[in-house]
Amino acid sequence: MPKKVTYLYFDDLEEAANAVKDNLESKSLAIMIQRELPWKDMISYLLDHESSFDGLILDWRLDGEDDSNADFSSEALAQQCRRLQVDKINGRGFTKSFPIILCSAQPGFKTIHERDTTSEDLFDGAFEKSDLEDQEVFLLSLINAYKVLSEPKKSMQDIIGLSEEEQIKIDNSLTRKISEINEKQPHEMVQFLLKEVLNKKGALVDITNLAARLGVSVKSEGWEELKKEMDAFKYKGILLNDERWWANLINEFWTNNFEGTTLKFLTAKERIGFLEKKYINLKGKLDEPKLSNGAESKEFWTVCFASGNPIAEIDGFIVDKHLHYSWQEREYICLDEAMNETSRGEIWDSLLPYEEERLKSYFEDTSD
Amino acid sequence: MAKLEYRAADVFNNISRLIDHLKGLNKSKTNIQIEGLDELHTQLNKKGVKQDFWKLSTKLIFKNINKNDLNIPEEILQNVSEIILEMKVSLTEKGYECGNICDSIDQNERNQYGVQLITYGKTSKDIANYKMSWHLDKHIRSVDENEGRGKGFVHPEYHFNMGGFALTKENNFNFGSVLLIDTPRIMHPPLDIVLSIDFVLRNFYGIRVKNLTYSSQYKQIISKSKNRLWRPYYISLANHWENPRFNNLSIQKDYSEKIFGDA
Repeated sequence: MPKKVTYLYFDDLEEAANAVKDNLESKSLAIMIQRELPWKDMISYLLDHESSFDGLILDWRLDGEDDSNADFSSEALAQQCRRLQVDKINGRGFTKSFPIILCSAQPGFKTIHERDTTSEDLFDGAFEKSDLEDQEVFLLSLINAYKVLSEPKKSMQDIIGLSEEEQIKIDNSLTRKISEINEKQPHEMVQFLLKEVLNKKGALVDITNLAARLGVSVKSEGWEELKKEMDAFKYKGILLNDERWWANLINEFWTNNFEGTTLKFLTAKERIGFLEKKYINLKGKLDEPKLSNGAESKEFWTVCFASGNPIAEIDGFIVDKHLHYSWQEREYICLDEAMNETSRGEIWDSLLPYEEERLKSYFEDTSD
Repeated sequence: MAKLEYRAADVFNNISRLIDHLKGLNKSKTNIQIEGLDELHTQLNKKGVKQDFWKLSTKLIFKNINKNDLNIPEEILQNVSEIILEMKVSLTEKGYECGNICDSIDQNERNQYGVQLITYGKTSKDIANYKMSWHLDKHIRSVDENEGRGKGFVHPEYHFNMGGFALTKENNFNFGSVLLIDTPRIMHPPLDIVLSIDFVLRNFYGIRVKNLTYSSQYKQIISKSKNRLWRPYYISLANHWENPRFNNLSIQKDYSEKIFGDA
């Protein structure tokens, strides 16, 4: 059994901290609660007790209570810790890198924090306290990631879990970027993988996108079994919290196994036809997803960013979101969502300017 | 082995330059949007591509086709919000030497050649669907190279066909009064990704893209692809009648007859 890991958690409100602790602690995870101290004492405490914790959780406002001792912000403390992880100040420093999590009881804190981009890069995660309680898997994966990334000779395979042979099958700029960051501090790799790879569609796809691409409804009787057949293409690297699959590996598997066809070019029916031929036990157990309103193409490839319904790119409207890297793919919303704007302002804000223009033509023609 | 005149690297470079131009089009005021270019670009950047044998497949979506340019019956036009074209190309090519005139597109069970253009008349209701499809195929031969599908019909090696499986495979397609039959198969020189894009731009956008299509940089890109795929195609045909003029070239013997659909 793996060693139990410990997060040291600073909060000026012990009651709230205890609630988080009660919900988070498990066989593998311990939470050690501490009240905040004045700056100098705080730093000494952390340095003195380095061996007793694996990660740090900070309340966003350590000065929130009347009896608070904090004369500093959590951002400043995190900054100081990052610095001490690489460098000695006044003769003292940490001997290891460790994750730092920010949390707050204030509702809507995440949006406030996201807006304040200056401190964005300091933390490995920012959560409202009620959400933090569900993050056991994430917190454990962070500790493991820091462990892997702190090894002097970690390879690409150690990080993203792909053999050298598989690495050449994915976007070259992704592997190049990872090699670049590999020279830097663990938290930079963690930030990069979480923000640009694991939580963005493209190089990796989540379960809804996987199902759309295989042309199969997740409600199909045979879906779980089919999903298992795709295990070889799963992401097996660090920071894994939720299932992800390598899009390019699936594409290549498809072409190699199904008469040289291109997965993206086939209708759901054709995809299912091939799958049922290869996996005989799935015969009759795979259903195509339903077309969403106004959609025409059954060459499903993505899912509506708002409703999660599978759609072909040709039937969607592109959400205006900046893509940072070549392996990232656009997010689409379906016609119904675009016209009714059910979750505009929540899940998506705007479409690309030309997509907003396209959308207008749908209103013109239905006004009769 | 003699030096290959046409290698994956040259072809990929040409496509990549065209992608840059098309992205420029996306940003310009032409109101033409082409999706799928990044994905295509990623394919070109893959490591370990064999220089003498490469495979590419792409699906591009061309938006904002001007519906008033087209001859669409008024009653249909009322329903149609916009017209979008989907272009799918998959091809496997071999590198070849310049003096060796041959068909460089590979086709077998694993590597199917095909260009498909499907236009969608999109509506905000799901009652009607409007579609048209054209596709350029390479004749599929059985193992003995003599008997293919659609036995008895003429099958030029590369042929354009209207309608076909893209329309008929969905059972609920409404054909109206159109009698869609499988023939004719019209002789057409092969298209690669570059030439397919050119085909779409110049057939569906016309004057709106003239700044690009009239530019010398664009013409240069197109002519490289023509040189690679059309030069052998037309030399083989010319050689069919004017054999002695091409004595300095080695010409694939049956290519011209295959092009005619006689072999």
